Amino acid sequence: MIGYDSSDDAAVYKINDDVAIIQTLDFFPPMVEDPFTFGKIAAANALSDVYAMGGEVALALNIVAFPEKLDPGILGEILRGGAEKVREAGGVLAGGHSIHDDSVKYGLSVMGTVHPGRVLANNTPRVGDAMVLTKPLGVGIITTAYKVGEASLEAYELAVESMQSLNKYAARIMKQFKVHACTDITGFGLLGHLREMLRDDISAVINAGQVPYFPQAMDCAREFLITAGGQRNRNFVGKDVRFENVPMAMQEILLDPQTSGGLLIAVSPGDAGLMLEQMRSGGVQAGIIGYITERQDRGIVVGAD
Amino acid sequence: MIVINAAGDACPIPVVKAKRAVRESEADATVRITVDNEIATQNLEKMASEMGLGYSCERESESVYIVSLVKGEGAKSDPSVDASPAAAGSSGTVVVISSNTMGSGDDELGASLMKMFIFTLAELDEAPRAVLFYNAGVRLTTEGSGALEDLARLTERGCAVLSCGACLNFFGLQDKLAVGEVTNMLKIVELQHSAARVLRP
Repeated sequence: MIGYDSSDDAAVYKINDDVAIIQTLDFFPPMVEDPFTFGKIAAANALSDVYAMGGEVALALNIVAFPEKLDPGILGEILRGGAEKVREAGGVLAGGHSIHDDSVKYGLSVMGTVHPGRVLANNTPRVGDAMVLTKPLGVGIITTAYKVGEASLEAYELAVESMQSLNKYAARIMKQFKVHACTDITGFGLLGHLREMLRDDISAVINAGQVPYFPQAMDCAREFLITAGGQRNRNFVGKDVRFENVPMAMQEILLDPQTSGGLLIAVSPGDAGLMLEQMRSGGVQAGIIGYITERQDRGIVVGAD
Repeated sequence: MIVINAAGDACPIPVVKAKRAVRESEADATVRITVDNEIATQNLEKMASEMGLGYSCERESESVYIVSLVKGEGAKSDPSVDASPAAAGSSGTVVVISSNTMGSGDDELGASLMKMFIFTLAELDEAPRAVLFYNAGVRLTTEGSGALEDLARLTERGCAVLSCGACLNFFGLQDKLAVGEVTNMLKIVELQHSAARVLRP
């Protein structure tokens, strides 16, 4: 049903009229010191693609690259973190594959299930839809600044907590509403992933003042603790985005590459308020960040308030 | 001229090094920084633009880029406040207010102390050259603040009342500024750098 042609989060294969399977794979090198935490973050990130497609997690397999000379106890901790998140997702971890390599990498191949009629593609928002983001932005800026001793431990711990939290809870609430499209925010940042949701006939208008982000990331960006990834995303989205009086630091946050970021949901405008309310009362730090319009001169227009 | 080698450094290190050098250097100084990738030059350019520095970049070879950052002349500057000590008039004092409260312990007490501080400041025989407001300090220069009258008195006496633009935006107060002018990081740094003394309540 979904393959290479769109920029979707996972492949979807229809088994019969009642069941389609979602298949996805994601792995990367550590962005945090603690192996148990890294395992949890890498797993939450891989599992997220299933939630972004509207599905439930069924089965996961470990993907591991690990240096021969490193303490195998570290690998044990990474796998323990991954297993904890698969269990929390309600899935079964059924083995995997590991190789020796120069550097550590970890992730999962995940299979999920979804009703074929309820698959949430990326590029199917409708004009008028409200756009909802379900995690604060800025974890890329914070983890990078922390590595060079320029962010506080407190800020770092908030970012880690966000990265290891599953999108399961936001997805569960989302499914009760008229949702037309969904993706999750990872390496291309909010604006990069938003761009993948757009077609030639629609644009997105984003209100920067409503976008949830970590205040500590703003402090860092104001001090020019800006990342290469953010600038790459800026070059990537290029002229397709118009910023209207948005301060540079806020632009950096909107372009910040996220690890295991939140869901970005296009929801019927009449449903957005109640969905947001339910997410917030369920502990999800979501915000209505903008809406979909008829095509304008640019794909994305970002206003300051 | 200050020369920095940041080849081999990943972002944000080149920007952090450049920022420190710029802040520690004299007015009109040039900071030359070598980096090994184009993304780093683009990040330096954004910093230069935010700090009001002159920016130029030369690509010497495949992986050697030399970025020059120029302070003062050649860089854009805000003519509303002259940061040079010579223009200080009768006073070289700059007051920095980075919070809407004074001291820590109790915010209610802190808010009342801050109001009294600004009142007293406006009563001084010699008004300070400038009062800088940043972070939650901008709550004092915007609608609803109890300090507006005293701050207006300060501006009448030639004192610049300056609020950080990024901070106003951050708190959603950009349309609510009720006294003084909006300023930027370059001005905040320069005014403190060139002040005879800096007061922080």
